[in-house]
Amino acid sequence: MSAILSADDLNDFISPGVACIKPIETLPAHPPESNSNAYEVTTEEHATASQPRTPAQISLTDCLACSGCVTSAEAVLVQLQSHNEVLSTLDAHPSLRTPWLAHNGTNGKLNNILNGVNGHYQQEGKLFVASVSPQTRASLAALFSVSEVEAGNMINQLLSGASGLRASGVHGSDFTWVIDTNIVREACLVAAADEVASTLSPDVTPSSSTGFEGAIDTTPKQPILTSACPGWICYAEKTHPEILPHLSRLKSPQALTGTLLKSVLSQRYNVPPSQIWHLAIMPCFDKKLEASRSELTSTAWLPNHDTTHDPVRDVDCVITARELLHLASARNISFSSLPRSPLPSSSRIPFPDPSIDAFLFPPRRKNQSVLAGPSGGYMYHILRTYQAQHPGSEISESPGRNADVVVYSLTQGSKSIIKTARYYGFRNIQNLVRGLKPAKVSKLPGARMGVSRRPGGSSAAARESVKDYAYVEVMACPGGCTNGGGQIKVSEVEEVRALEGIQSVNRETTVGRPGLTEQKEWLRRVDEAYFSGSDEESADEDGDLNMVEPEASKLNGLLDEDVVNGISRSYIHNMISHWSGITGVSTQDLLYTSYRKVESDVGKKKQSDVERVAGLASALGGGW
Amino acid sequence: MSSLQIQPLATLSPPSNSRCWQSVPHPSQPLIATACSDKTVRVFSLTSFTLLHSISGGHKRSVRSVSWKPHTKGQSVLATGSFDASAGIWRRVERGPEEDFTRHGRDDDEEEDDEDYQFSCILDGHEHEIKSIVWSPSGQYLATCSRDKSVWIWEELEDDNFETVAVLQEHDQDVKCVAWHPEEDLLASASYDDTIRLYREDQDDWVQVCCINGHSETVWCIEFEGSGMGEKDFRAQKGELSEEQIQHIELLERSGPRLASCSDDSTVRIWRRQPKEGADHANGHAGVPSIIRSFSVDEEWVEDAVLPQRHDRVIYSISWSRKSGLLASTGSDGKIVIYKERWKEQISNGVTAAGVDKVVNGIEAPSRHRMTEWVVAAELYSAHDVFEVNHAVWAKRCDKGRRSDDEEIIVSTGDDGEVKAWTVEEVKPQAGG
Amino acid sequence: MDRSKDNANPTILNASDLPSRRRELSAKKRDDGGTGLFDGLVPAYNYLNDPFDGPLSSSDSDDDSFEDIDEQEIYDLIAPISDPEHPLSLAELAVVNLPDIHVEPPTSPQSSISTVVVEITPTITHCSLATVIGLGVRVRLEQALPPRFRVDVRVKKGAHNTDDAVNKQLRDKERVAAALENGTLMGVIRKMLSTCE
Repeated sequence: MSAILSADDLNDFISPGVACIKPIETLPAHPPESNSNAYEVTTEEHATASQPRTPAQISLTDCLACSGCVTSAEAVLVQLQSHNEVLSTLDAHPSLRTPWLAHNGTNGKLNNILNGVNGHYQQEGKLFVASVSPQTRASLAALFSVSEVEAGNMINQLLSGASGLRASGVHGSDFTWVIDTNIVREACLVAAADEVASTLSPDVTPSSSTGFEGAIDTTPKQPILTSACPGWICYAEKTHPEILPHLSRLKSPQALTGTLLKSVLSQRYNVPPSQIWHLAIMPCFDKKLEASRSELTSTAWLPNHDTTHDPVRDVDCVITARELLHLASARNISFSSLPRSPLPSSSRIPFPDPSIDAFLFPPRRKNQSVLAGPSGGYMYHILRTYQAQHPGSEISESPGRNADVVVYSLTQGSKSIIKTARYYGFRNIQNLVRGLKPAKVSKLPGARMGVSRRPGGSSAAARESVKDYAYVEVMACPGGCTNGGGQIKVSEVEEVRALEGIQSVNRETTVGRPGLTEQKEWLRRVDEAYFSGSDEESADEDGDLNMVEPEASKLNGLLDEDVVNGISRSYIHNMISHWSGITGVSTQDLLYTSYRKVESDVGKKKQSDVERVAGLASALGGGW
Repeated sequence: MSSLQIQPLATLSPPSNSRCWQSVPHPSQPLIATACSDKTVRVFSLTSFTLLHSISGGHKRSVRSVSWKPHTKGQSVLATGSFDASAGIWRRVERGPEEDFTRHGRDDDEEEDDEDYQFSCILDGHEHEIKSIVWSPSGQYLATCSRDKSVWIWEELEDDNFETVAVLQEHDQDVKCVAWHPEEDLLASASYDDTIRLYREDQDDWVQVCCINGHSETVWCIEFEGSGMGEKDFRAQKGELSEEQIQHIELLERSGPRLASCSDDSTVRIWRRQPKEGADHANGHAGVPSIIRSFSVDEEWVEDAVLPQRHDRVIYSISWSRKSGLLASTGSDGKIVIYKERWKEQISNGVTAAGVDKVVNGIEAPSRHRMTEWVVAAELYSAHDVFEVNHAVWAKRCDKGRRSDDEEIIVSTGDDGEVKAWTVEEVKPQAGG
Repeated sequence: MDRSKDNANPTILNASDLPSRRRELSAKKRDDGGTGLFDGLVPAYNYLNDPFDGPLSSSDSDDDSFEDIDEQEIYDLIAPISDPEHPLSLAELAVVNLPDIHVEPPTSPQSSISTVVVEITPTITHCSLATVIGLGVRVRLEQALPPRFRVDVRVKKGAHNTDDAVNKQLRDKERVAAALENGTLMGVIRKMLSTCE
C-alpha cells in the first residue's frame, strides 16, 4: 500500500478546509506554456477538464500540491472516480458503437473537432472503453477461485457481455472494448529498454536539452527509476525533487492505453477525445491520482492545441477490483455467476485501424513469468534485452536485505554489462533515495563537519552501488503491484465472498485480525494467479509454476536479439511509428511525459498567509 | 506517608534562556545531554554540573529529543531529533574518563575540532517534527517518531551508514514517544491518538503486535522497566513470602519487564505482558488449530496498575529507576512525584487463588486481586519555580558528595531553561514530620 | 448557522458596548509589547521567559502586583486581537466574551500555579481557523501573563463541529511550540496580535 495515499487514511478525513475550496472562475484557462520556472507551483494549474463544473470545486492538482490534506485530496478522488461515477456516466450517455462510421473521411480536420459543437455528432453518446490490469484479474481470480483467464472473461462479460451492464441502466450502455493493459505494456517495456539504452549510450549527454529536470525531452540520469507507480511518483515529486532527473519519462501502461485510444480515434477517425470515456481498472488507488495529472491529457498530444478548449484526460476514471464488484452489485449483477467463458468473437467490434486492432486484440495473450516480478516486469525486460544483445551473458540475482530488494547483474565472462535492481516498499525507497543523494549535501549546513574517520569507508561504497544500477524498478507497495492498495485485502475476502453468496473454498476461517501469515498466504495466491494464465497453461488446474520452466531454461541461452520475452522490438517499433504516422504526433509526445516538483506547502504564491494558514490548520490531526 | 525526600543538589550552569525539553544521561560517562528549544544540545558534566559542550549550528528548529548510543568504545555518539523533521548523529572521541575542561579561551581550531561533537550524518525522511528518538539497548537500531504519525526504525550497518528498516504507520495521530524493551527487539510507541502500540520483527518485516487502549488522552511518555528488577525492587526482600506472592513473582518473571506510561489524562499506568501459555506449549498440543499459531506474534498487554493520582495537569514524563524500581513523574503542574511498589496486605487466600487461575486462562477479571500496590514515596512542588517541568530522569550520582556507588539522583528539565539535579533521601524518623 | 465558506456578515458588537474596565494596564505590560514581541521569536524562540526581570526571579517579586488579575483583565488582554479574516477584533466578533473567561486559583496551598480558562466562540461552526484563533489567544496570554498562569484555551462547547479535536490540539504544548516555529503561522499570529497595544 502506498505510504502516501491509502484508503486507510480516510478515517482522519474531516472535510476540505476553506483553502481547498477554490472558485473555478479564478483559475486561469491554461498555464503559461513556457513557464520561466520549471519548478513552478502546480496549484494554479487548471482544474480537471472532464469533471462537471460546480461553482466551487477542488482540483485534484490543487490537492496534490498541498501536503496538509492529502487525505482530503484522496477523499475527493475517491468521490470523483468511483463505481458511482461509472454508473452515472453510463446512465448519462448511450454508448456509441462505431462513431467513426458516422462520418466519412479520414481527412477530417482537427479544427473541425476542436472548434466546438458540430451538428453531426451525437453529443450525448460516448464510446466507452475499459482497460484492465492483470493484477486486478489476479485479485479477482484468487477471490473467486477461478483462473486468471476466467477472471478476465468475467470482467469482459460484466463490461461488454449480454448479461452484464448492458442488461440494465438508463440507456443500456456498456463498454465497446475491454483492453488488457498487458498488451500496451509491451510497448512500454520495449520503450523502457530503449530509454535505458539511450541513457547509457556514451553519445548522449543527459539532460542537455533546454527543459527542466524531469521534462519530457530530457534523457533521464542513471540509474533510471520506474515511473509507472503513481504512489512513488507522488512521493518523489513532493518530497524528493532531487531524484526527478532519474525518473523514466515513459508513460505507464494505463496512461499509454488512454493516449493510444484517444489520439488515434480523434486524429484519424474524427471522434473527439471528449466523446471517448476511458475507464481503467487498476490494483492501486493512486492510479486515480495519475489519471488526474495535467500532463496526461489531450493537451499533451493534440497538435495546435487550442487553449480555449478544455483538455480531456487520457484516462477518465480509475476504479479498483473492489469497486468493480460494487459496480456489479449496484446493477444487481452477481459477479461470481457471470459466465467464465470469453465473449463470442462474432460480437466483437474491431478497432477501426487494422494494425492497431491487431496489436490491441492479439489472438493469444500471455502473462509474464515469475522472473518478471509482480509489477509489470520492466527491470526484467530491460535485463533480457541486454542479454539478447550480449550472447553468452548471464544474469545473476542477489537478494537484498529483505524480500523487497533484489539486485541483478548481467555479466559476460568477467565483464559486467549492467546492474539493475528492484526496490519495493516505502522503507526500501527511503534507502534508495538516500543512496542517490549527493554525498556532500547535508541539511545541516552550519554544522561542523566531522573529519572523515575512515577515508573511502564502506558507507561511501554502499552509496555508490545504488548509483551504479542502470535501472531500478521502484514500486511503493511491499510485494509490488499484486499487493496494491486497491487489491482485495485478506481481511475483506470473507466479507466479499459472503456478499457474493459464495462459500469459502478452503476450510480456512479467519477469526479476528488476520495475521501476517494470512496476508502472505493471500498475496501468494494472488501472485500465483498473476503468474499463471498464459493461454496454454490456463487448463492447468493446480496453477503451479511449471510454466516458467521453459522461460527459465532459456534464461541464459542464446536468443534472437529482436524477440525478448516473446516481444518483438521491431514489431513494437513499427506499431509505434504507425501510430505516430496516422496521428501526426511525435513519438515523444505519445510515449513520454514529464515530472515536476510539487510545492509541499499550500500554494506559496497568489495566496494570502491566512489562506495558507487555514490550509495548515484545517488539516486536522496533521494541522500544525 | 512519604518515605523519601527530594532535595536540591545543583542547578546545572549556565542555564539556557529558553525552554529545555529533555535531559538524557550518558550510559557510562558522567555526562548528561539536554535538548533545547534554542536548536542546541547542551552536554553537562554530572560531576561538576557545568556545561562541557554546546552542540549548535545543526538543526533549524528546536531539538526535541536526544539519545546516547550504548556500548560505544572510545567515542560518544549522540542522536538528536528535531522539530525540523530531521535527526542528526554526532560523534566525539573520548580520551579520558574525566575531561573537565572548559571551552573558554580555546581558539585553536584544530584542537577544538578534535574536542567538540562533530556532525557525522543526517537522517531524514520524516515529514514533520520528530518528537522522540531512542537507540535500542543493543545499539543496533535507532527509533524515531513524528507528528507525521509514523514511527521509523533505522539500522546502522556501519558507522554513519543507516538504513531504514521499517516505517510503521499504525497510529492515527502525532506520535509522541518511542521506547525499546530492555531485553528484546520490541519497540513501543505512544501517541496523541491515546494509544500505545508495540512492534516487533516478524519474518523480515516489523509489524504491530499489540495496541494498548487505556489512557483517555494523549500518551506523552512511555518507558520499560529495567531488566532483572526482581533482584532490586520490592521482590528482592525474600523470606516470609506467601504462596500467592511467590506465584506473583513467577508471573512477573514470565511477563518480563513491564511498561509504564503517562498521559494528559493525569494518570500513570503500568502495563504487563500476558505470558504466552500457547507459545510455550504450542508444539505439544496437537489439538490446537493452526489458525491460532499465526497470531503468535501478537502480544497481549494488560493493565497492571494505575498509580495514585498526584498530578492535576498533563504528565509529560516518567522515569523508572534501573537501580531501585522507583518511578518518578513530572509535568505541567511543576511537581516531581516518586512512587514505590510494595506488597499489599494479604487478604483472603481464596480471592488470590481465583485471580491467579483467571490469569492463567488468559482472561483477566477486572476485579483481579492485585498483589502489590504503588504508593507515593515523595512529592515535590514547584521543582522549577512556577514553570512546567518537561522531563525528569534517574541518573547515577557522580559528584563528590556521592554517598554510595549506587546512589541515584533525579535530573529535571524545565520551561525555565534550567536543568536541576535532586538527591533522593530516606526520611529519617526524627527528621520526617 | 451560516454555512458559507466565508462568514461574510458576522455579527459585530459595538466597541462601546464591550465590557471594559477602562483602566490603564500599561503597568503590567511587557516593555516590548505588541508586534515587537515576535521579532526575536522566530529565530530564537523564547517567549516564555522574556519577562523584563529575567527568568530567575519571576514569581515571588511579581506575585503581589499580579495578585488581582481577574477575568476582566484577561478579557482586556485578548479583546483587541484581530480576527485573521476580518478587520475586526475578537471582542467585536464576540469570539471572546467576558463570561467565558475564568481564572482558577491554585489547586493546592503548596502550589502557586493558577489557571486561566478561555472559551472562544468561532463565528461559524466549521471555521477552519478556529485553531489559529485559539493559538493567537494562547500566545497572547502566555506572553502577557506571568509564568505562574497556565493558559487553557478551548472552543466553547457546541460552537464548533470538531471542538474536541480543536481543543486537544490547542492543549498540546508540543504542537503549540512547534507551531510557533512555523514562520507562516507566526506571520498570521503576529498580525492578529499587532492590534494589541
